[in-house]
Amino acid sequence: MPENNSTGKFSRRKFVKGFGATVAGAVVLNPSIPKITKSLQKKIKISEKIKLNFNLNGKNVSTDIYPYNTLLEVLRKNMRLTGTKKTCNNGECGGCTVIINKQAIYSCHILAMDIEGKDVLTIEGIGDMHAGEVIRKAFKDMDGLQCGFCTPGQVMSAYALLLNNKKPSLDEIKTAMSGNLCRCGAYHNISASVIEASNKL
Amino acid sequence: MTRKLIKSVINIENKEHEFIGEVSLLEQETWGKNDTLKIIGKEISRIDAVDKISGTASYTSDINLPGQLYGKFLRSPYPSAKILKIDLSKANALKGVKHILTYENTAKYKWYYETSFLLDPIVRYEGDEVAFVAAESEEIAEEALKLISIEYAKLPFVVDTEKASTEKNIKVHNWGNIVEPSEYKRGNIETGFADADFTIEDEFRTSVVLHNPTEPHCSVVNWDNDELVIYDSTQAVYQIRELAANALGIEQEKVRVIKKYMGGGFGSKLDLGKYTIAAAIVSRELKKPVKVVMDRKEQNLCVGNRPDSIQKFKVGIKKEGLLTALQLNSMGTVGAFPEGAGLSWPAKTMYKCPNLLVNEKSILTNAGAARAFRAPGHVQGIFGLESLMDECAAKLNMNPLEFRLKNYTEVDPVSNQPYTSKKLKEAYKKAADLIGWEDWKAAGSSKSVNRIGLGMASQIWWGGGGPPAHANIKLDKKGNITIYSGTQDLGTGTYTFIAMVASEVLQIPIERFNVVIGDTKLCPYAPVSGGSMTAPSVSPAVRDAAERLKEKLMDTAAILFDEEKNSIKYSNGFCVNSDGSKKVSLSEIAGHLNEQDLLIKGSRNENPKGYAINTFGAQFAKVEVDTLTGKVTVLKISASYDIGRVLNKLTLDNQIRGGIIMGLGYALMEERIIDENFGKVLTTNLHTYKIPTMMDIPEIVIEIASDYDPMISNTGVKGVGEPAIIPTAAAIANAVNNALGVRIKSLPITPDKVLIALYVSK
Amino acid sequence: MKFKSYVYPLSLSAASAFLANKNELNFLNAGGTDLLGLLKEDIIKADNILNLKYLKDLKYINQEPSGELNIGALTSISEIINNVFIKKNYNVLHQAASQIASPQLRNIGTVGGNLCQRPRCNYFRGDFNCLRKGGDTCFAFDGFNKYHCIMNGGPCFIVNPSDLAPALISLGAFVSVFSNGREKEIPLQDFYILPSANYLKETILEKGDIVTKIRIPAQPRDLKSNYIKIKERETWDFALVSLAASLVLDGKKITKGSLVFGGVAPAPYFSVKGNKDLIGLDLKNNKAIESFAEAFVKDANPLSMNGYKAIMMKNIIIKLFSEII
Repeated sequence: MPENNSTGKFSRRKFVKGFGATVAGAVVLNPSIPKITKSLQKKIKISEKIKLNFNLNGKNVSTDIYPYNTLLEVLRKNMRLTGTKKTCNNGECGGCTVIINKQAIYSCHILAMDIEGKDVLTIEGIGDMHAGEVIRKAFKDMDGLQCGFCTPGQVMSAYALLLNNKKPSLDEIKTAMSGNLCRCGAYHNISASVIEASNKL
Repeated sequence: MTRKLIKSVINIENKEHEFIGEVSLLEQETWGKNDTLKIIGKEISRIDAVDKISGTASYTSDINLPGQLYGKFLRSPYPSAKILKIDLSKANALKGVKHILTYENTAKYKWYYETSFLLDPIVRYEGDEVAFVAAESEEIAEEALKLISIEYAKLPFVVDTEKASTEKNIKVHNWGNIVEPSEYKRGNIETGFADADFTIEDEFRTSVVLHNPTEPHCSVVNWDNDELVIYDSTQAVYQIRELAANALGIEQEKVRVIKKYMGGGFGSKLDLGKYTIAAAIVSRELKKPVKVVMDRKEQNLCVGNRPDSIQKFKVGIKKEGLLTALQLNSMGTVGAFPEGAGLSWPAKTMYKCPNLLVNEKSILTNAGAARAFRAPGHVQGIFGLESLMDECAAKLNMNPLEFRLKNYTEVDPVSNQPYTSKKLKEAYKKAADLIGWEDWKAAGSSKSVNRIGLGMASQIWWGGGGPPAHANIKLDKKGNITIYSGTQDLGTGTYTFIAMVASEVLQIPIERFNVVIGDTKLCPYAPVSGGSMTAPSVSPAVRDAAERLKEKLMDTAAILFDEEKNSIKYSNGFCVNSDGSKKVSLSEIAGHLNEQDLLIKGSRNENPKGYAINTFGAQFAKVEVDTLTGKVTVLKISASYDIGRVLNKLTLDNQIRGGIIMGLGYALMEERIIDENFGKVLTTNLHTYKIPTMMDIPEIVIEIASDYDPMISNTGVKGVGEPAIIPTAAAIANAVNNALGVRIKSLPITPDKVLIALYVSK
Repeated sequence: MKFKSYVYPLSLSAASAFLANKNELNFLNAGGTDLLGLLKEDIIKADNILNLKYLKDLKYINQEPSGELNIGALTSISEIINNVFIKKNYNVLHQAASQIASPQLRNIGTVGGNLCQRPRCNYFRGDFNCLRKGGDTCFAFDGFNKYHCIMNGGPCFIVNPSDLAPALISLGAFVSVFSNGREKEIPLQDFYILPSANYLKETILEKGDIVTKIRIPAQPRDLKSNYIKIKERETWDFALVSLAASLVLDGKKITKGSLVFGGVAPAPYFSVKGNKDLIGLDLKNNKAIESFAEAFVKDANPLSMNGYKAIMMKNIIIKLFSEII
């Protein structure tokens, strides 16, 4: 940490607590999920793993994770699915976009624990579905990519959009896709791909 | 004789490089216009698209080798300090930590043109490498970094470019803060100004901007006995091989560099990374693979940037619009290690101006070192020059396009050589028509709240490519054809155009070709993918190889048919005899060959002597400026280029749009910000370092002005990656000036600058 | 990013008690968009994280017969955007929600989280032990302060980054806080505190307090409202200056209204006098608007790099008035 070497210092004021006393002797109650109940009673150490169950690309899976793991870490490391990319790891670029319960989500910016019991769809899971096939073909035909690194995230955002809105307007497409950065700047072709897919679906 | 060895000089990313290499003697005529061709110039989907879209494409950061360790650098939190003491005891005690490199236990690998070491006890910028940890997992490596205790003696630092240029007491290196100042003279500047009817002096500034490719810089390295295998996210497999071998003091042949896919580079992945060598050292020591992937903060601190610039111009003009003299004093910071911040090539070569005086300085500061960034120098230089040209036109009440046409040059003003081709006039006309330039009015004509403005800027770059560049074509007994070249695909469509060129020659579908690139063991040499030279260098080599294969096929058919070779006709993958009675397919011929497979080498020809090879273009911008919020919205950009032959219209337009969008970011929002009190970067993530989103982009229309370059190669292709970004910021800045009647002279043009400029002008 | 355990509460009181534990640093996870950022960048250290999402009854948008609107704290930003009633009747809230961060973050970010998010000051978020992190200096004061406050600053000069807060305050919203075993409701405009009162936190919340609900009182049927956000990039950018306005007009004359600014002060900024002066303002009278807007800016006290915000603040009023007619 840098120390102050500049003018305009403000001395730190004594912090006087405003109001409201904290409740002493808090009791941690457990959720109905038994394994977590057990863990909590023990107070999980960081070295201890917890079993996570969720539906991944249509299949029920379970894997051992640390409570602080993000979904992206679980997908790339535990599940060995590398289509979902780690790009900014801070919810700022969209390279890690997956679909959770029909919504586009940054998998790097959500705790894996939060997807317990939920449906997660990744780039690897959409190929078998008609919509996924159509979207993928549209990205190929319209050249909705350059280096391809952000592409799985773009495809997932497109998939989420078309899942909820079959015939989006150009403005709706721009808004829905705006959380996915493409440094190569293939945006025009990406929006054209979404339009093409929408027309074909 | 079909080949020879030559010495050739080529400009890559603003630096002259000399090569001795083998070239093919130009045996094939350049193709005619694209409308006479079957595949070339068409819109062809990428052959690697499915792999990338389906998520199965394995990028370097997706590669995991069995038993691999994970490497992480500990980086200096200070912009300038000396390491006094290193305590690794706690970090070494952490379970899973396998090795830690520091300057104390590591040989002095020279770095940054021998001004520093891989691990140096002096750190010169926030982010400078201090120690390298290899551990069983990324988490453990990160944890270990926090347990390393370093005692630093903080040293004085300087991060401001101008301050560093005159600073006597604070030196980034003991030899000073200025890297090789350069001077260029043409004619007589005094006479030039004396001849002028008017002179204008002005100053333009640009900010440091960051590449931020989506895939972070990364390597996975492994020693296979004494062979070092490096999977690297790189734009230059052969260059990485050479640099890594030199760094480690081993034979180049003992290093294999592989890169199949990479997530963007833009110049930042032309260099060897310290992470690659640190990983190689640990890997050799522990006999295990080591993987290193930078995080986003490291991307914003440590892997290059475009220097800022302070450009001071003085220009002399005649009443009728001719330039008589141009003087430029410029400086820019290259960060803590020697690099170039020169930006004067546009001033030297864009226009016919007889008298020129240029002085340039590259300034060291305690910040991350610069690296080539998509058209290094030209992007800054064109912004200054083209802003100035608009000021000249305004002074003469002349249309900016007319002013530029008055100063058009048919020869390269530096070498006085003619160009192999120059279709800039045609490009001006096409781009002007596409934007509706006839509606152009003098700056400040509008007084409404939301003001529309039109602006333009010109572009020049090299991009002719050159030798040595090779491609091998292999036909196996089953008739499969594979093309190998040590080039790279950065998302630029290299895989696809290679297949297209071979397909054009051999007249069989592109699906028949397997393309292998980015592997120094499998592929013959090809240049770095920088300087917009991949397509102009590699496409002729591929055509050469394919043509030679076709020759071989016809030779074989002649033997099979027992006829003279010159009576054999080749058509759509078949050889036919003179009377059409006998026909044999490529696959059948392959089956007749005794060799297991037929391997044929193709090479790029030598560039024509006595000519300048450049790309040219123009962009026109239409903007709307909200005078209440200061927000600039780019409504439309039109672009037209002379880039020789179009290989693939689909990927070409995509790449041009991408360059324009990156240029838009440079014009309106991108800026690395350093706190001057502490020398620390404040924009280390992707929401503080702002790059354009889909909501920020304008309509873009493109028309290509050239058919092909008739002289440079058998394909007549010039490069486009860099030309695409060069004029954008200048065109937008000129359009903003046109809308407001007030010029913003520094980039990025953010709302605060617009509001302050309007306020001051009132 | 590391913490010991992830805790699932069965009730609000259990959650509150857990968070109030004085011996541990416990934080609640609602949408997690801000929390994860703070944890990843080591701005806060956490022993345990409490999964507030486990309390399903904090996620709702209820339109009461009285015309009141109640919004649960765990309602996502996307749910606000997609709510037809809000879109139709509370344009200011719809517009504000639509311009928050990016679509993916709006899908998980919550109303409560948006109101409670920590400041975006580069120094607070960076490797600086600033005043707000327990240090003794505000580094923005003589550092890079382009994005900092021009009103009510000192000794810390953050701006409140929330888009929803100005919109909700302009609508006269109330916030419910579960505290010490009971729920209390306070006007949202009293929820935020200035650095001069306490520079270590941004709201009145104490350890263990949980935001549970937002209540928007019934609005006049002819309410005209809007939110304008000036930003450098169209998505995922915080306001340079933003303005929320909820107005009632008689023809072109304002009969009642509230203006609340974002991006100019450590808390959403409004002026009691300004809102009083709104009454009777004629939106056709450019001169009157000009001097009204001018009055707002006269208290501005810019730092070295953010004087533009004073111009912007004045202009955004003019822009909003010209667009609301």
